Amino acid sequence: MFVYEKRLQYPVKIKNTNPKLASLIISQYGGPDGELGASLRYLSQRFSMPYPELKGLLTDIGTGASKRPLSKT
Amino acid sequence: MENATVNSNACGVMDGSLPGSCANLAFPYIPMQNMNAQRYDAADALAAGTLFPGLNLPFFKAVKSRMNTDNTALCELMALGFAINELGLYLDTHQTDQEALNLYTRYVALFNDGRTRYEAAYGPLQQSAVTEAGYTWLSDPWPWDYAGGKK
Repeated sequence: MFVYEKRLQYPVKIKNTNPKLASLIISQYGGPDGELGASLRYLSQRFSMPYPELKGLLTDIGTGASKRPLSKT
Repeated sequence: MENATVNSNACGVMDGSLPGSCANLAFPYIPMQNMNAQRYDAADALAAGTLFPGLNLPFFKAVKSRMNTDNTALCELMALGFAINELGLYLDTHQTDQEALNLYTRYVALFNDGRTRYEAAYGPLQQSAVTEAGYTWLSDPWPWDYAGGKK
């Protein structure tokens, strides 16, 4: 279901490293409002979604949300 | 029930005000994107973070600094990949938009062609893309191995 490529979806250029900010950003990955939870919610809602276009959308967004943190960090 | 002070441009009892009009209170809504929505080209889409001008809503007061996308083979591939991603989401809810579908097909063809040429020159993008050089999947650089100030 998941395929990954050796490239980023969006160019990331970090001019100045900032570990404090990085730890704040990575904290948005987990937790009740994190991207990881969101991606799993999209993917589990997908299985009970009766409308095909929304079934597809939930799957696409769910797989997208799990990729997002990688480019955030 | 007390009457609130009458406002000259007040909406009905069940309504609240929207800029320029009134609408039912407590009903949030998200308007449906029109068919054949206006689009950026792939490079501008990557820079703006969305394929659609109508969805390009920079954060209030944020200084709008465009992402500087170098004109490299990889950036071109990223731009195409991003446009394909965006068009895919759009097509999920607008499957009868023939023009968008044609563009999607064209971008996918360009992307596949670009990937073949990129992999021949710079190494695999997917683990399964084994080239003549052998198993080079583990060779550096990985795209996220980027340290500030260093290339």
